[in-house]
Amino acid sequence: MTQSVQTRPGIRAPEPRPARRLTGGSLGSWFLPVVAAVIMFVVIFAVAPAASSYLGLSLLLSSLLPLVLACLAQMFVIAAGDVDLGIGSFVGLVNVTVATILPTHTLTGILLLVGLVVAYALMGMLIAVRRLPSIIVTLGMSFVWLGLAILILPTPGGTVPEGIVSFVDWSPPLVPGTIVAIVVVTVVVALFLNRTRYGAVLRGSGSNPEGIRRAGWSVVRTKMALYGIAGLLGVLSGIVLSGQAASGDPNIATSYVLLSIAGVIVGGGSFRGGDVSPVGTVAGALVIGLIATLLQFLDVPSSYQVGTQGLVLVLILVLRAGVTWWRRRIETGGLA
Amino acid sequence: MTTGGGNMRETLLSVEGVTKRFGSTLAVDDAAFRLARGELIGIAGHNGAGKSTVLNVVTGRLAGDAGTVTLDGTTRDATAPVASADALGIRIVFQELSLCPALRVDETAAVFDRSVRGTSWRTAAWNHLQTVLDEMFPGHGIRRQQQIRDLSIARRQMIECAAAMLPGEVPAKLVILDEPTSSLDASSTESFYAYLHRRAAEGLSAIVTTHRLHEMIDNLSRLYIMRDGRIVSEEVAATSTKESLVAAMGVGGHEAARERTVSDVERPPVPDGAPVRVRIGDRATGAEVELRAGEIIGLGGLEGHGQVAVLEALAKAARSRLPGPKRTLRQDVTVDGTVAYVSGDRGDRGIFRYWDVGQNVTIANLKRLSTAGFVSRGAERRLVDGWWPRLGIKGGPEDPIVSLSGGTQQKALMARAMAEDPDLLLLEDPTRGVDQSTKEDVYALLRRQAAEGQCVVWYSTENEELRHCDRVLVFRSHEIVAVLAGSEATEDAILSSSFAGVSSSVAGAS
Repeated sequence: MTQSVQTRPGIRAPEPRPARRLTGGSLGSWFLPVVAAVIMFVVIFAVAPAASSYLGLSLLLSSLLPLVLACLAQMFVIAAGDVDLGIGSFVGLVNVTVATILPTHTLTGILLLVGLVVAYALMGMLIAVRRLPSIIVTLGMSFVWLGLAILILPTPGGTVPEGIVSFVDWSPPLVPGTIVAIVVVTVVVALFLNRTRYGAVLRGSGSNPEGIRRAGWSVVRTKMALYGIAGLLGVLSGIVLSGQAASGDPNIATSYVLLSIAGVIVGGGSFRGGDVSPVGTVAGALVIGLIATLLQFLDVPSSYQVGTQGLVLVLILVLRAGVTWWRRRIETGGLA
Repeated sequence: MTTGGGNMRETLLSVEGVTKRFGSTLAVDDAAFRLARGELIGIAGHNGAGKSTVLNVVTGRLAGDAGTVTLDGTTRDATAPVASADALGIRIVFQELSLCPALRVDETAAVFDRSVRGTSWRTAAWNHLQTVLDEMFPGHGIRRQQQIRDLSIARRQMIECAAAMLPGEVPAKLVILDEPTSSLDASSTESFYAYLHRRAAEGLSAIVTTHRLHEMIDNLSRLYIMRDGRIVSEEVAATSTKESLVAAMGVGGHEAARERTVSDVERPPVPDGAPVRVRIGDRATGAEVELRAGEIIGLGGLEGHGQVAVLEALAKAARSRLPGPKRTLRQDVTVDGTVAYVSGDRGDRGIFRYWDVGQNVTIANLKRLSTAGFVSRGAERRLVDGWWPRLGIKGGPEDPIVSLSGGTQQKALMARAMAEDPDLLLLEDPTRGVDQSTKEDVYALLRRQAAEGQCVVWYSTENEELRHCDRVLVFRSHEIVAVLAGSEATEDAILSSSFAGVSSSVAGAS
């Protein structure tokens, strides 16, 4: 090792290696929401020990499953760099379809639900081809979904088929069916988005569509795929919600619009596009749903509940900003 | 070293009579050139000379109005666009970075590399990319699980260059490189061209366009010069000089006049009594550098050795309300006065895409332009009008900023910072991917600001342009290893200071 002169290309800046990896980049954006969800469960179990029983967990979580699915639907749209303001009335339309058309005209009902998924994909195509702002398109479409639902079922009513109700009530031994459903959906979505090549292309197309186009992929097709998957998850959300409600109501899920966006963002996602985490989104959805339950358990007066729910969400986002800042600080070698 | 005249070898690409019109403008007029297998050629010309357009027609991204393109014996009509240049065996590296910030490095590799399949697609794609990266940029320091967002611009550009060389489904015959080295430092650039030469020896051909003329002269065999949409001459790189190319590009007189003003009107030396704006002290050695008002200071050395950290610390020091120096890895910096910063990443951090040029210039100055919180239209207009002639931008301030070329956008961004009238002007590689004449405009702007008493601190990856500085601080491993006077700051001097200590420290370590 006595030769003193290295070849020039061999020398480069030393890697800016984080001083400690403890809080560093090894943690994904899903970490904080998962911790928040776990804390929520712990607090709820402490306040109401009965909630940790099989029945308690079933009751606690079954009302959250439709929201979890709606948050995942929203996540795919946010991954595209867009926002979906129509998911609430879309879920309502699915609910109305399931409660009115499906019991009498099963085939028509199924075709209609498939058609709704296709409609979502086409909406994505429209946004990609005409380069329209998604906020406007999805907001406009939300009135279309709602209008169709009211056309089908002007006042709440109808009957959800028995099969769907009992399917949603499925109670396997040991673990409540809702937990099984949440785990399965999370794993499938996470594997697809994070561990398949097309999943990477989809995220990339939200992050830098021009780059993906130059690499030889169709950006219209990726947009259609993202919106189509969102539509599929929206339909699933509507079916599960119908099974729990057992009847139809066009306005059943209007609160999902903002809750689902909050779920994705609390779950570590960002509006930049391509930056979403399925595991984090599910945790975010649980946090948002559980806050309301917890506040009820704590006997917080109902007039304070909504405001408190909002404050907790802001707190989580502040914490997230803090973690990001801390991570940067460590990675840049402690620059003050 | 060079791949020699291609006339004895098999022709890979032959372009005949390509013409392309955009509305009333004739972007490319009857362009014809050819390229032998294993040859590296360049196309030189000013912004708007038609380089990108003719290359877009060659790759089939754009339909031409007339002409034929023959690649590897297959002739196609240039009027028909091609769905995928990849399938023809053509790879393209674009000037504007086209990676997805949200993806990891290995995922990025897979997006480009269509050949990988199966469950271990990330590993396979990364292995392919890493092989190319290791050969192209030894010691690149890129790891597979890093996010693109967390990489420096230079490392992102390395990935783009390497991705073009991936095996893919159809082996690459021709690589088209548009400003491939705009963010790379001298040593990376050198190893990049060394790699190209090795691949050329195996039969790969490449067309390079870059505003770094010396790179073309040093590394390519033949150069086609474009002017106003026409190919006006063909030069042998080995016998060309920067001056001869500039003359052929058709702005000779213009350029020469500019050069004269530089040498004739020497700036007066900075007076001894000029106030000290910046102190950069090395914590380990105690050595201190003082930067004075009216000076232009260059930060040189290899990319990523702490120059940007110093720039950012300077900006923070000036803006901080807390007293005391700001720390970088090795230095303590203190600043006396106000500061303005021109970022190197204009797309990401610089321009407001939906605003016009005037608004983009005045945004940083709205405080001065407004009374009681309302922006005065008149004051805004006066500010823009005052700066407009200095910028030399074609068109008016009402044009949308995205209608300008990259280099011209950069000038508008500099005007934004300069119009704040700061005591200290910080520039992060402002001439990245900018053509020669715009560069000269930038240098003139900087000299003018310095003459008005601003202290300019300027980081550049192009050592050659640092001769415009009064002093150059050369960085290595976050340490200032040399302070060169502007006249001494030749490319060789900067490079030898960048490396001088390295060999000794390597020897010391063994």
